[in-house]
Parts: sequence; structure tokens; C-alpha cells
Amino acid sequence: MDIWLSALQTVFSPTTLFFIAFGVLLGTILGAIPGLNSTMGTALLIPFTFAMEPANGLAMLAAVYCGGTFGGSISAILFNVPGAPEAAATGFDGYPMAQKGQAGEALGYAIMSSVLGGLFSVLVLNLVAPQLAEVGLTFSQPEYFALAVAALTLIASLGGAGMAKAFIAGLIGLLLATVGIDELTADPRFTFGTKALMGGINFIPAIIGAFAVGEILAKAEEGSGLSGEHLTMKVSTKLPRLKELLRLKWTMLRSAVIGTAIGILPGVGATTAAFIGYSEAVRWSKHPEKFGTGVPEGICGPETANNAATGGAMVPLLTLGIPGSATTAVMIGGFLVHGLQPGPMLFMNQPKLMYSIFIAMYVANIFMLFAGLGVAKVFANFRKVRYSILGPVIFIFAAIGSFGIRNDMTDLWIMFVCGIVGYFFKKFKYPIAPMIIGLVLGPLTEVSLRKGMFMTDYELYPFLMRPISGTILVIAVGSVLWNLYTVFIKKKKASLEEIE
Amino acid sequence: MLKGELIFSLLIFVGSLLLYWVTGSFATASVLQGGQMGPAFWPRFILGSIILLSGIVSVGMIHKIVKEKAWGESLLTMDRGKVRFFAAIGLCVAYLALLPVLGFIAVTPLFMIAFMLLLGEKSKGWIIGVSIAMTGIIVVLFTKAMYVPLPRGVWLFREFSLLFY
Repeated sequence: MDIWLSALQTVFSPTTLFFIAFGVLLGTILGAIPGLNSTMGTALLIPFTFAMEPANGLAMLAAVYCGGTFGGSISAILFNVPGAPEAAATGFDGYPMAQKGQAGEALGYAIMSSVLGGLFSVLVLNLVAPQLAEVGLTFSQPEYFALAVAALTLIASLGGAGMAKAFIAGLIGLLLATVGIDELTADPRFTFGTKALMGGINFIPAIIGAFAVGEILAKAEEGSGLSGEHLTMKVSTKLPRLKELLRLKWTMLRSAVIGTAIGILPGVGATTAAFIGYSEAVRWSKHPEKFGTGVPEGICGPETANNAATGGAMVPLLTLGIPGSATTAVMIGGFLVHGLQPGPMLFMNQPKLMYSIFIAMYVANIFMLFAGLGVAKVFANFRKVRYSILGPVIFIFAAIGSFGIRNDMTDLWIMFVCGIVGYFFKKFKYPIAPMIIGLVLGPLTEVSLRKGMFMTDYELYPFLMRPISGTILVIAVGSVLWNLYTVFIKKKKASLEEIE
Repeated sequence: MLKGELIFSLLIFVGSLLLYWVTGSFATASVLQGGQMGPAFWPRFILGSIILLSGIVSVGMIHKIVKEKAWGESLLTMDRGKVRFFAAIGLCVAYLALLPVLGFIAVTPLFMIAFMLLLGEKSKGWIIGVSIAMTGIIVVLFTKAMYVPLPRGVWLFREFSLLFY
């Protein structure tokens, strides 16, 4: 108890509060700008933390991480350009909602879900971090494969009546993920002898291209109406009311649990958490056909999950010294500059510091509410700009966002080609979201399947016999069959009505 | 539109067949345990599924076209929208091709001006102001504040870029 009080005293000192607020604001801004992210911000701030008290420095880094994970959703909702990869799924429903003139509401849902998701995961981190870290380490290839399959089954729900087209789009995404050097055998695949494709197709330029560039090309063709009515409307962020939040409680709770659990798994991260959060929101919804048209559940699902993953990713970092994401890997540097080694010994040797980080993360998530409102307000003003001006600006940010990942021109061309694909998908009614889901989850699905099969001596039944993977796979397959059944029933009803 | 949709699904079908053929070149490159699940296994599974599904979609489209006797408008008709679409593609290709040669700071304002004019923007002040201001903001933000390198170009253009970043 004394340690808690002492940690509270440290965090609630004006200096620490200032650094947390600064970290959240900086993280949110970096997250909202395509091409910049919280990992970059954390790396740049590490040298500055050297001169600070360890608690202040580490609290600031944790705050940048929390803010950065949320920030990406601002540009995803307003301009269909996810500022960070973990915000890509938020744009599936966030942008359509903004197009309907409800950008303020969409931003409000994103902010609130992020705050609640983040707080939930810190609470979990606080209570059962060591136990969860051990459970996380028992996850093996079959469990990873089951998780990936469960998220991919979302494609069946996204297709609606055009399920075949949704599956084709998803398969194209999975195929794009195979381009480059095979992770297991180091064989080049679909590189056609070029070095440029050896590194594979990064999903960030593909997402930016398919959504943002595809939209710009479509608008260029439309020509007239480039300053549509909704673009000239004032956008003010509206936080959801308690009644609306209560309506979404199960979506948020489910995503918070998913996000925290996935965050704990090393190497999976907030992006996968967001996609699985979205997929589960669709699976359990009474109206899965409405997803993709701008529904609050489509924002709360991924946004709660991706911020919950931030707390989750801190679990293996603080308890075992294993980073759960790219940013937490960089944060190890923050510990090392102060001569600290994250891991179990840190809890014994520096309990006050550990509890200070926990409390700082609570505070950071609450500050995120205000930082989110402020940054969203600034970015929302850009929506008032005519599309004939905004379109080229979005293209430039999309291009720099793609180039910034690896400083490679290939990523720019990938963005552009995916933009053309996105344009034709839209034109011929192929949903884009399944392609992105396939591209994001492709490597995890393939590698976990092949490694898992190798582990089980090329037998598939051990995947079903293991309790966690078996349960997830049964639920996933069951939900696809249920979807097929409902589509079949709907078609039958429609044809009967036609005859009558 | 139906005709375009059919052509698109046929393109996916034919493209997948070609890529399936390409997988033959990396199937033999390495073999894992009796040839099971080598590097070609997963792409072949995906391509096989795409071939099957795009075949079904194409047949469905043909059936619909024959039933409704509606081929839609000719794909070769060039209206103003299509001209703008192809011009936008041309501009983007030119920008991406010139970026490593002329550098970000030289080519970006020109691209933005051309794109704004293409999208029908008439205010000269906005066109020039936004193009220059945005380029400047991006250069300062990315190269000075966040140390993210931007393309500098070659030869004289590189020297020009080096004056700023």
C-alpha cells in the first residue's frame, strides 16, 4: 500500500503530469499524420529521457505509445487515410460515417472506445500481469493459426449477398501477402526476378492506396460535386452519451478482452488486435450486413481492441522483459538508458517505478480524451476544404506515408497500384476491406499453419484437439456456416416473395 | 457496367491461372519433409480458390447478361469523367517517376498545382499558396522535426534539395 501511495505521489506531481500530457499530445499528433507514428516518436524521445527521472521519462514514453495508437484513427475517419496501421480497421466504418455527415460522432466513438479500451487493459496489467504473461507464452502455432482463421472468417460476413466477391477480395489479399521471400524456406515468390519485391508487399502502402488513392481517382472521374455538402459542414467531435455507450457495452468489452489478450502475445500487435476486434464485432452483431456502411460498432470494435493492446503489450515487457509490439521493443531502450532491465527482477527491485508506470498509463488514457478532442478538432477543420484542394494534399500525405515506412520507392508504386485496384474494386462492387484483412493476416495465417503442421507431423487434428485452438476454430467455422445459412435463407425468402 | 464487371472477373480468372503456372518455378526450389507444404503450397491453395470463385462469378455474370440482355454502355466511349480519370493516373505516374529524379521539394508543388487544376480548382491564390505551403510544412515536419528522409533527386536537383534538407 505504501508503494502505491508513493507511486501516486510521483505521478501526480506537476512535472510528471506535464510529461504525460505532452507525451499523449505528441503521440496523438504523430499517430494522426500518415508516415509518422508512435514508435518513431518513442525512439526520438529516448535520448531526452536520459536527463529525466526514470519515472517521468518512462511515463512519457508510455503516454506517447497510448496517444499514438489512438491518433491514427483521426485521419482514418476524416480522410480514409489511416495515420497508423492499427487504425486501418477503424476506417472501414469511420469513413463511411464521416461521409454521411457524422464525422463528429465517429470521432467521439473512436476517442471514447480508445480511452475505455486503454483503461481496461491497464487495469488487467495492474491485476494479473504475471499470470497473463505466462498464459501468453503457452500460445503456440495452432493457437496463432486459429486466431488468424477466426479473423479471416469475418470476410463471409462482410460480403452480404456478394459473398463470392468478398471471398475473392480476401483471397487476393492473402495472395499479395505471399509476395517476397518465403519466411520459412527463403525462396523468392512472385518477385519476377526483381529485387524491389523481395521485401514483400507492406500492408500500410496497400491500405493507403486501396482506400485513399482509390477514392481520389474515383473523385477525379466524378469531377463535379467535389465540394459535397457534408464537406462544407462544421465538424465538431461529439462524445457518445451514456445510453449510446451502454448499447455498445458488449462490443467494447469483447474488444477490450481481445485487444488485451492479443497485445500480450509477442509479435502479433495492435493491428491484428484491431482486425480481430472488428471481426468479432461483426460476428456477434444482429446486423452484420450494416458493417462497412458506417455503424458505431464498426468503430468501437477495432478502436477498443487496438488501444487495449497497448496495455496488453506492456504485460510481457514489464513482467518478462519480452516486447509485445514494435513500440514496446523501442521502449526497452528507455529502460536501458536508466540502467534498468525490464523483467521479473524489476518488480522486486523497483516496485515504486513499476506502479508509477501503471498509474501513468491510467492518467495517459484519461488525458487521451482531451488530447483526442483537441487534435480531432484541428484535423476536422481540413474537411471543410474543397476536395479539389484536399485531394492532392491527401495524395501527397499518402505518398509520404508510404515512402516513410522503408524509404523505398517500391512502396510508393505499391500504393499507387493498390489505388487502381481499389478504384476498380469499388466500381465493380468488390469490397476492399476483405483484401486488406487478407493482406494483414496473410503472413500470420500461412506461417502459423506451416509451422504448426510441421510441429504436428503434418496432421491437422491436433489443431482441433488443443483446447484453445480447437475452441476458436470450431467457433470460426460455425460462424461461417451460419452466415452461409442466413444468406441462403434470405435468398430463398426473396425468391418466394418474387413468385408470390 | 455488366460488361466491365464480367471483364474484371475474367481478368482475375486468367491472372490467377497465369500465377498458378508461375508457382511451378518455386515449387521445386525447396522441399520440406517429403514435399509437403513447401513455398508453393499456400499460394497454390489461394490461387485454386480464386480460380474457382472467379469462374463462378464470371459464369453468373454471363448468365445475368444473357437473361437481362443488357450489355451496358461501350467501354471504349470516352466521356469527360474517363478523360479526367486517365489524366489523374498519368499525373500520379509522372509524379512517382519524377520523384527520385527531381526530388520531393522540386516536383511536389508542380504535381499539386497540376492535380488541383485537373480537379477543377479555379482560385489561383489557393492553388499556388497550398502547393508551396504544404511542401514546406512536409519538408520541415518530416526532415527537420522527425528526421524522416525525403527523396532528394539527382544531379543539380540533389544540390537544390540539399539546400533545404
